[in-house]
Amino acid sequence: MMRGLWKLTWLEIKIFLREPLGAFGSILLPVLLFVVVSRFAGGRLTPGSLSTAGYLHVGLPVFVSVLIALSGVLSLVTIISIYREGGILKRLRATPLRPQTILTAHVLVKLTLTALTMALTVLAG
Amino acid sequence: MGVSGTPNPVIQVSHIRKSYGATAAVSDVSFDVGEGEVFGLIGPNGAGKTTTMECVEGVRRPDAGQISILGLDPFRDVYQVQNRIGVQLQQAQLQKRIKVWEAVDLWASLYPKPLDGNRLLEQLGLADKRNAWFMTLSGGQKQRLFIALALINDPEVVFLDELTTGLDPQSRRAIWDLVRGIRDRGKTVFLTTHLMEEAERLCDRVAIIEYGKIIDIGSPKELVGRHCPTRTVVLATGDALAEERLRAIPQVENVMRQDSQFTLQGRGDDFVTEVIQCLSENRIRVTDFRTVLPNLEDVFLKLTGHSIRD
Repeated sequence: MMRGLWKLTWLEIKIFLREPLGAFGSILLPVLLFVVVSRFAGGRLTPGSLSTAGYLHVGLPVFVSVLIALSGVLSLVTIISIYREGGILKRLRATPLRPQTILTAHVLVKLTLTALTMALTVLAG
Repeated sequence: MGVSGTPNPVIQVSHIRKSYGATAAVSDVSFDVGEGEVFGLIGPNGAGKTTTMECVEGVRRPDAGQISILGLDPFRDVYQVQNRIGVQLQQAQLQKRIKVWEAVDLWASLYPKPLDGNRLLEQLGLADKRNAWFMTLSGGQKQRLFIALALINDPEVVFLDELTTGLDPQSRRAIWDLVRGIRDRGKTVFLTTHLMEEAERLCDRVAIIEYGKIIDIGSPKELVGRHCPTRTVVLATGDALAEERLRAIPQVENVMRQDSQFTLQGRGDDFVTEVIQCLSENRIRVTDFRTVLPNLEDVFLKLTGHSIRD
């Protein structure tokens, strides 16, 4: 049973968004990067060879998958190690929260935030 | 009945060992904690206090030995045990930007029958900090929050590891009052500390631990009586005959004189009375009179040959 999973996930999302740099870095930065890169690449594209819509078709999925892989793996490892070092993990382990619940909550947080980034990127594109 | 003959033991630890690599953190520890008592594990840093406590909490598994808590095995039945115990860990942290009420709310959602979180925060003096981030709390406030989290499931046994380390004397006293309050609610408290004053004020019984071994167990008074039976009286007088008269008291073992100040050492409950009687019978005028009673600090020094702060 995963008691506390939804509460923990929601809490972790709120906590994450309270950290201005983290929120900026992982949600807005990718969007900005996408816009900048596509402008730059878009400028070099000869008319007719690839439309903006075409670029969106080819570029976005690649961009998104790189983004998910990076943000998912990297930040999950970072967060868990910060929690471990700070004694947060230990504190949570002394409650009925199970390790897999904590991990699942963080994966869900990442998925939610990545989805948000993707949505914004699509909008910006 | 357990090893030490404690009635209704809630915690029974017998001959546990735990090593980290080649270092033995706990080499042979046995003790019982009775229902409703405040039991303290005291010793210097690195003596094995936290390791022992974490084994009882089920957070760590001992290499050898038996532990029973509330009749359960803390490691095998860890989830069952966790519903019935409250834990405050040494140097634990929470997410920096978690709000006080969010932490209490999360914790409450993890247990079947939680207490009212708002009332708990009120009782611990944190009501006006409900919306504060964890990182903005002072040391004392953080510890009070951890106590709140340890009490949220209305536990039968409360574990407090180095509760007041790093706090100023004022917050420390406030926390001591809270611990007494926990005991008054009929809960069993198991705490560790390296502060002898804390142990003396809070604990019904203490176990002195060093290098992973228990040296002695008893109430603070018993331990002092057993290991430091000598009492000391310091007095100041200008009476020329004082020294001779004081030396004549049968229970006096040692008299040291420094100008007009005398330091007398002796044994037995009547020692201080005997000194006072001698002074009054001989009409010796004193300008200063005080007794110096040995405490746990002295017991520790006697048992280990060094001060706990070394």
